[in-house]
Amino acid sequence: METQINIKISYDFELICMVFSLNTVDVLQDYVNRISLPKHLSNHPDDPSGEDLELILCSTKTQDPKVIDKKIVKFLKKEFKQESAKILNQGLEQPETEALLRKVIKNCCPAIIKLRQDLRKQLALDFKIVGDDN
Amino acid sequence: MVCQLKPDFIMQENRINIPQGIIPLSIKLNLTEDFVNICQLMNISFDEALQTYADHIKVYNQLFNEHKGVDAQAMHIFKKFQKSCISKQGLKVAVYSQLHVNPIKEILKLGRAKKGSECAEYESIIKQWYHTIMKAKDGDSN
Repeated sequence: METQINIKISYDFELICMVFSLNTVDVLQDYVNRISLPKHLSNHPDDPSGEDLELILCSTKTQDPKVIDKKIVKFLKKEFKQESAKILNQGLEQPETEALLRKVIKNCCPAIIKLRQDLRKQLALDFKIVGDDN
Repeated sequence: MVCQLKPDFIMQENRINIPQGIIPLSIKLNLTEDFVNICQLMNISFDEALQTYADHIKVYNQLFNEHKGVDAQAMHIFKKFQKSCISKQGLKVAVYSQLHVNPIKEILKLGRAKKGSECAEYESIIKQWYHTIMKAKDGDSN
């Protein structure tokens, strides 16, 4: 999915790319390509310890207000954690596990967008939702 | 959020030392299904995901390991890409290579003194380095 991205880069980022003759777009595209929850959860050999995901999972700002966080976690535990645990317990090969997990995640996305839309309405909150507003 | 689903990830409440992005960049990227899905699960905008990565790539951390969470997470990914580029294309001589020597020496001095990438001296070196390159570029285009 080709998408327009608008960011601001630091002098530091520009300089390090220049020193190592790296194209800034390639650096960013590589980051996108590394982000994969199904690969990580299925212990793909490219990143078995999940280091590539730490930045997005643990250090990137979500658009969710704190007040809805608990509800989202509850939903994910119910809809996603249980389903993924079932797949992981089947003892399948990594590629099969990865494909099944991808399906679960894909199915989970519309439901979580809907949940956020409902919560935004119910609680009269003002925040953006990926897949709805941006 | 998803960090709680994977207990080995610890959610960090506050990001540290976020430099201000200065140069606007508008690009087209091919977003993978997995990237889009994780952004939807976490409600992270695509721009924010990439901004966070770009914000924490630092020359200082290329040379010294500060062991700081967010910078280390970003640099780990950057170094993987760098390594794959070097193995595919070999080492290339940087454009304006002579102009990089002194600032890198200055950063090495800072690093040996364990000053860290958050000190004012580092910011000043980076600014001056960047402006020197820009001047050279302007000179080339005239």
